[in-house]
Amino acid sequence: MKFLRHFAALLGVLGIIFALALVWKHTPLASLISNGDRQQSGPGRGQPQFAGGPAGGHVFGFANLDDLAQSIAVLSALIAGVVIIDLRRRDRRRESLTRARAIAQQRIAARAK
Amino acid sequence: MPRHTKIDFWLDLALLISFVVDYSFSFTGLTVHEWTGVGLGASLLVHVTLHWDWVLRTTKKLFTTPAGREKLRWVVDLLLLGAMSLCVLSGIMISRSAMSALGWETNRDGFWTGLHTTAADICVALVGVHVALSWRWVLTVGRRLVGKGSPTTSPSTASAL
Ligand code: HEM
Repeated sequence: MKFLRHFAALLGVLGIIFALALVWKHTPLASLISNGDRQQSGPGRGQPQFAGGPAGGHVFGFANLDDLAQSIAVLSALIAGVVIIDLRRRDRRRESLTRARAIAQQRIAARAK
Repeated sequence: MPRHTKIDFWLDLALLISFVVDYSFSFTGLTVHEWTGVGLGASLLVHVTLHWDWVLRTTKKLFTTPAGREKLRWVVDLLLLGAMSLCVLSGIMISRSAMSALGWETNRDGFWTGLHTTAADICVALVGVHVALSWRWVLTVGRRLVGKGSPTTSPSTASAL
């Protein structure tokens, strides 16, 4: 019962997202992402290249492993970038904590004198 | 290690691999691409329904919690949910294979195609950040699963892919 209630709520949210996309489609802002002449015109990112024949006809174009390799490379680079930023931030935090602690200890020592 | 942590780990890994494969359109070809996308969409439906309480709680907390790592994680996860929904919905709108196999001829146009590829690119960026923000958990559980390191619990958002 709870599952069905939550499922219905989720469908409602998806409905809203879809309705917003429909509204977007009918505003001038649609041209921001629209790919109007893509179906008719020449190559580019949007014209997927199929090595193994017609678009619908093959299962896994192993000749296009490059595409998979590229996706893995992009994702790995992104993950590495964020992890490096995260590590740097943590190091900086540690340093400032250590510095703050040292200053506090100096003050305590000075007061004790 | 708790059973659900193991399940989270393998489920997340399976979702991540399916997503990367599905994103590689020229590798999968149209038919596999569409059915994998439909599968990802269905997993997303079940996954989010099961974690609906989390979605509500997190959305509320966004407005009450000060900025920080946790908040960034929630924003990324909620954006990922929205982008993934748009990607699958627009994919269905431009389907040439899966939907016609189900008896529905779609009316493809440039808007939905553009939305689909844009949402897919945004998803890749968000998936990268999502995984990266959990890298400590991924490393610890991964090590544990291959027999090294100590047990840990799952991060609150570990399986929100
Ligand atoms: C999370 C799921 C999905 C991801 C990440 C994804 C990603 C992509 C990407 C990156 C492309 C662009 C290929 C290129 O221009 O080089 C594409 C194209 C396409 N996708 Fe998806 N997709 C997903 C789900 C779906 C679904 C569910 C369907 C339909 C049932 C679908 C149908 C299509 C079609 C028909 C194209 C070709 C568009 C064209 O003619 O240029 N996709 N998808």
